[in-house]
Amino acid sequence: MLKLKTLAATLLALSITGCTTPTAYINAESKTENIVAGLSYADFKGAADSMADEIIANKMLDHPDERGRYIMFVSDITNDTMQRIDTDQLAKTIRVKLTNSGKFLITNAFTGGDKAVAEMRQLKDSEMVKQSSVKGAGQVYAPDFSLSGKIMQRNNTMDNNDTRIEYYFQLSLTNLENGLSYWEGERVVGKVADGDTVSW
Amino acid sequence: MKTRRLPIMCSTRCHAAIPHLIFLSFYLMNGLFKLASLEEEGTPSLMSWKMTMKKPLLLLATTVTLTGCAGIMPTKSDQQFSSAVHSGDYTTAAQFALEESGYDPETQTVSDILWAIEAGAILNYAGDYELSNQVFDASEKSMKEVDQESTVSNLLQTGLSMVGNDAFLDYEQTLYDGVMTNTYKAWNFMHAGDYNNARVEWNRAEERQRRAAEFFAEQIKQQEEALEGEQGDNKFDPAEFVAKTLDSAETRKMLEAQGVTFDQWKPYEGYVNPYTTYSYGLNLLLNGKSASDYNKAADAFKRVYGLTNSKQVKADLDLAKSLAKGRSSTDNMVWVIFENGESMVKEEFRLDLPLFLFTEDVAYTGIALPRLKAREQAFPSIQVEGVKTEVIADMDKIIGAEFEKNYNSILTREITRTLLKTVAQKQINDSNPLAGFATGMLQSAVTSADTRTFTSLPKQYQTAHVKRKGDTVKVKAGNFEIPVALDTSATSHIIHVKAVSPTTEPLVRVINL
Repeated sequence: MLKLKTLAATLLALSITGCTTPTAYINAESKTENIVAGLSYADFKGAADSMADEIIANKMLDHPDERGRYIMFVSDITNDTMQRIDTDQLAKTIRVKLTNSGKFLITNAFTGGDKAVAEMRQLKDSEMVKQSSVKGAGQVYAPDFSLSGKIMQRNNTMDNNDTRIEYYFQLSLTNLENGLSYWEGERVVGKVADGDTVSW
Repeated sequence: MKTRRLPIMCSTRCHAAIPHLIFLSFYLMNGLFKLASLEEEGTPSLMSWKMTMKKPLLLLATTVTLTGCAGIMPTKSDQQFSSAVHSGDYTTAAQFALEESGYDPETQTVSDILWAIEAGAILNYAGDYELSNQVFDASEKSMKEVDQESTVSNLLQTGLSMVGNDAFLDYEQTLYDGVMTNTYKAWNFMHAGDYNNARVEWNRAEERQRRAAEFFAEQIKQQEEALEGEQGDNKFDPAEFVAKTLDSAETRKMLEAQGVTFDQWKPYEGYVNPYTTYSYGLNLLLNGKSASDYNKAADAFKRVYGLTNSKQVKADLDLAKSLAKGRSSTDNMVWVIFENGESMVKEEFRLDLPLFLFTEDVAYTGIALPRLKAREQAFPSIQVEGVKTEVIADMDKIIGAEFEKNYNSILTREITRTLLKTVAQKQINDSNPLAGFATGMLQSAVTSADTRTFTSLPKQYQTAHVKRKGDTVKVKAGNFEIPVALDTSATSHIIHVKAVSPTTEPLVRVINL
């Protein structure tokens, strides 16, 4: 009887106190630990790194002038998943790698870029600003290539009722002069998650 | 009138205290009876009182546990909520629902899923799209917890449902609750101009529909397997006995006389909610970025057209196909989404089984079950610039189909529960007729059905589209003629018209895209 009471008291105490996870640093790039059904840094990093490497290694994207660099505009990357993600998580890693490669320059002058490029030109009428320092017309470079794409998600139920989740990272690099695609890339990240509930 | 009883009995998780209160009342009452009888015999000893009390008290404890939660009448807030909704006072209704949901903005959690989704829907009508989405997000967290309840927890819940009543348990969302949660969220983002997140929510809504279709397919498969298994099994099985009782023509006839339907509501093929699929298609049609998006829109409209045969949807389908080929445009087009009336709810009915006819020991036993109760549509259709809206989704059909699918399990639980309660009552009666009578009265009072439903949905969704000529379009809904101003700098527009009744002025909201 006493043992029963002790057991009951222990169970009650446990149910009241519950469990807590202490805060800790993790390896954000790890694909074997702290895995989630949604998209994590490890997924973005893996896809972006390998696609950027492909773009850099692409001979069709070598500038004819040895010291010249192509200018790239990062266009729209659509989030067509069930996860609330910022597609810049994919774009940023690619931008960093392309810029650091020394083979490309990324323009921030247009849609979705840095608004200051256009706004600071309005200073040409300002009495306060030294006019010789105002950036003039005809200085901004137009891009040579546009990078666009989408991240898709497809879920399927497996025979054991778990959910197989596939994320497709699809990117295209379009030559703005002729509209032709000079590079296409796709990376697929597959995961399996509990089928009892939704994957977000 | 809102039929839910949560605030009294189980608004969050406080309902566990109710049986104890009932038990305490009976403990005191029965104790007084015992003391009175012992005093008459001239032996008012505490020890003998305790001994005499032991058996009836144990039985009472069992019965009270079996009877579960006690709340019967709808609460003031239930009534105020439904009358506020019915009169179009969404701000007041949202306050009620939000309070009942236990929404905590700091932790982004809710304590009651049903009130939370009511709050989310009403906040959408009230135009507070950001808060609506926060509450819906918190609801989805709770829904996920319900989905992930362990096998042990599920077994415990099944056990509890056997000894309590269905309303004793925490609310478990229906499949269409989940689909509509993401649908509302997507529309919230559309109203707020956040088309990227709207797309995510449409994808989620479609994923929930895929899961629902698989769930029902699996359910049908399991039922077929169970039937096959039963044929070769000659062992006595109480569950099978209950099932046979339920399946008997007499039981069915008795229930049908009470308005219970078993196969009146055929689901849409593939268990699709055509409103969600239509909305998904419309979003891609108006915010699409590529031929692939327009093709997806065409697929969605094709499914809805197949289910509804609506000419308006056929025109949407043709437009999506044309856009996919790089022709046509949606410039100056106006779509109207009409939310018509109020959706079906559940109400309780009772079948009293007068077992005292067969045995004089039992004063009462009864069964309480839910049945569907239709509410009115506001108008058969409305007109935009003279074009009539057409039905794209009948929520009553969706609610009715899912309810009928689950009705056998509700019946099984209720019959089994009633048997258990009645046996316990009889045992108390044998030991102490007065306590038995009182327990019978108590059982009568606490027997109740689970009538919790998502009540803020419309009865139907309808649609129509026109090309605008000026900066306003005229919407005619019954006797209401509403000029709707449009932002002409936008390329296309969606007008949401919600009418809960023919006499309440419709709510009109515009999305300028």
